[in-house]
Amino acid sequence: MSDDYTSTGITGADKILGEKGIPRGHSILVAGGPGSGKTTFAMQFLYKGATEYDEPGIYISLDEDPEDVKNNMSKFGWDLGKLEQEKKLAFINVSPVRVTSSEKAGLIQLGMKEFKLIKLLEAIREGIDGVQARRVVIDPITIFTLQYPDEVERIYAMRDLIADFRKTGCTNLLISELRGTGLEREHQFEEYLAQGVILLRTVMKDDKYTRMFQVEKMRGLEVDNQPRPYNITTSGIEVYPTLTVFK
Amino acid sequence: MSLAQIQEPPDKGLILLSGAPGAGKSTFCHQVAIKSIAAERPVIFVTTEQRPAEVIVHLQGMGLAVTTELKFVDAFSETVGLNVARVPDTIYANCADLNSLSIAITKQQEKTGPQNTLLVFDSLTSPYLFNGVEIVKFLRLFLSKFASEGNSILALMDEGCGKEEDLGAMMSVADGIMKMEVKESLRIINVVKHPKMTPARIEVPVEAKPTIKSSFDAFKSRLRIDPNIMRLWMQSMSGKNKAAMRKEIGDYVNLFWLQFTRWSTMLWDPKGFPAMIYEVNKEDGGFSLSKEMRPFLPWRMKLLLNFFPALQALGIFPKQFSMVKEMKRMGDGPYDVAAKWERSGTMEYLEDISKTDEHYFRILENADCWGLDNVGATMASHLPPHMAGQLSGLESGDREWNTIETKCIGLGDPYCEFKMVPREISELKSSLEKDASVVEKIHEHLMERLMAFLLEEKALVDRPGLGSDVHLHPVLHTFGFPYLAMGGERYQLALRMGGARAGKKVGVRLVEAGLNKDDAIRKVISFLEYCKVGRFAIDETIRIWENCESSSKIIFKVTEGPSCFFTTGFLNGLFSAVKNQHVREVKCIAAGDSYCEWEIV
Repeated sequence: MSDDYTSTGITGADKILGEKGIPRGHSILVAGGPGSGKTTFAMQFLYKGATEYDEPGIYISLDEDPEDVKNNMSKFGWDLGKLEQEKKLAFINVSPVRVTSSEKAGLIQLGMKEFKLIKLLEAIREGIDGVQARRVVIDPITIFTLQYPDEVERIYAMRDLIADFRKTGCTNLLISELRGTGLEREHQFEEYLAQGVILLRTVMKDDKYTRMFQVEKMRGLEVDNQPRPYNITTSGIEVYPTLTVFK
Repeated sequence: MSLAQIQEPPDKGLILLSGAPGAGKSTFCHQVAIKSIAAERPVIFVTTEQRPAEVIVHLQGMGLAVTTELKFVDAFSETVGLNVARVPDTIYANCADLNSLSIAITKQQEKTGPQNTLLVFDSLTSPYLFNGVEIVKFLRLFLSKFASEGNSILALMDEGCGKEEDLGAMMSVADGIMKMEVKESLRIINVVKHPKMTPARIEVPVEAKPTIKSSFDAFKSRLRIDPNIMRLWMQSMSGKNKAAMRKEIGDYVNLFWLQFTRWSTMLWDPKGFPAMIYEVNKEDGGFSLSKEMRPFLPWRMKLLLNFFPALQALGIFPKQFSMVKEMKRMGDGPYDVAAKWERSGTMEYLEDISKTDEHYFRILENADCWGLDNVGATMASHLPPHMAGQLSGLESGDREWNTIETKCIGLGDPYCEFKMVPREISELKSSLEKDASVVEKIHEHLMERLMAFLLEEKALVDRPGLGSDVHLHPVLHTFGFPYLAMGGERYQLALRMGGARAGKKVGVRLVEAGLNKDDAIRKVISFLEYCKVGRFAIDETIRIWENCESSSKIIFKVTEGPSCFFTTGFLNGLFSAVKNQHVREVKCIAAGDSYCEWEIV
């Protein structure tokens, strides 16, 4: 794979991405419903990057405790703690909820105002420098956007974040909740800003799940944008790029 | 068109087999699967109504022994929520979820390769019941794509379990359609459309599971003996005419080939096969003196047998061969002569250790075992049961004689000895059964000798007294006679599969030894000619004149169509290993052609 592209590390997904991967330096929105494997997708991206492509990465957690994430991922046989020690992977916890949880007053979280874009960018830069990262994951980006109740402010903040990533040369995944399942859904503004959008959907019909992987947008790349089935197996996520989704 | 032809799936295409439950669809697809494995074509078996373990038991009952070419998609256990121990080579799917089926098949295909896989889908009924007409999309978007990429699919569908128009829609997607039904004692297969053949109607009798005895009786009832050919055969058997059946090469074959074919065949079913050979030889022993065969026996034998009851009544011949002195006349006389004629060995009756109703014989230079010293198993499979059968026949079937080997070259003894008693022998079963590892060892031993012959020109067989050759009679017993007698799907499969594995093994070894493709083939052919297997000619096709597998089958005209099962398997295995080509049998001496012929594809 040429250096212009970043392999996703997800079995079958690169084939959908024109056999190439994600264009380097792009910010990709990975949106999925609950239980669709978003965090698994993101961690697999980092883990394979560090172990197979010699591309260190950082995981910026805005929600979950990194320790929980590490524990959860051990079921796929990924030893993330070891990668952390080897400086191939860094976990950065900037969870605003956790930091300020002791200063909660009513419904308002006091620490919230502290969480500024500038701080997040600093933390990201430090993290990138610390491990010479080439891959970044922000999980979930939803928390970040919630910091900006004003829509205009929110768009600017998001644009700055993406522009900053572009400068670092890191390929990054912004993990987001997907509002509305099934085929009808609202589009989120992040989707317009990001250079690519990957959807992980689970459709429930009768009593069975159908999982669909779909690259909805990938700027600068000819992609297969049909939904394709995927599975969460014992070794991570597998996408089946040649198969059709049956309902 | 024959059943065998439609059981050979096309190289690519989706064949839909429909029929009411119980019409025999599953059995049919099991046969197709086994044949495919025999031809070394990998099989992905999707099972929706049984667990793979049950399918395996059924396939093994039909003669399958090696399952490396077989991958399962278990769409039964998960669908019905069975908790089963995870089995390697099996991927689980749920009939309710067509995606899981397509994913599981795709994952198995990663192991079998992108092309040349046979997918058996037994059956589409349950995915249809779960997903309704969406199944048509599954057929169109997944199965026909899979097929058109160079694979073959046999998918089963129960008639009458869904809407007519849905079944019609499914059929419109298929490249081939076959319908199966049972009427009275006939199984009817209507080939409605097929990529390889014109529409046809095939009828096969529905048979109860044949025993060796019932198959033998069926064989006798189908028998159409050509007196002229049978007379030639008798001349050949008695050594009067040593080239009665094969004018050019003669009626003797190197005993290495006999052993090689027998032990290759044995690889497929080490437990059941030896017992099968034993039973068939015994039946044939009785048959050789029966009314049907009597007209063709040498006149002295004929006369004797015709007056045998009278002679017995007069006390000249005993009613029963219990006493040692009575058996001595047989052992030193006809038995030894017969064994020598066909060069199966030199027979001696051991009167010192024999007792009433417990007779001991020794065979020197037994063709079954010669050269296989101390391989850890008894191996005499032709003479002892054949003699036991004859003896039962001479006693008019009052008592059933059995025999067990007590000493054998294969056990490290210098000769073979066996005991014959007029009753069942409890240890017989375990004595006949072989461990797969022992059969592998014997086969390996034979392979080493073959390689030494091919690459270092070492002698193949060195039998001082009777020489290296053996008559077609024991060869017929290994190749075909038992098959015919058994009506035997199972025997036929063992021959095909054993042949395919052996041919492949030989090919692989020669390529590993650094021979180029043409030299490897040439060497094997010259070995076969050296063994007097037949006379070969290879250009665009392979031809064999006087092929030992089919030359003697013409004495019983019960076959239609090609029936060189071992030779076909062997050539196919050899050519696929060396040249990545396959062969297809098109002509056969046993079917009345003047030579056997294979197309190279």
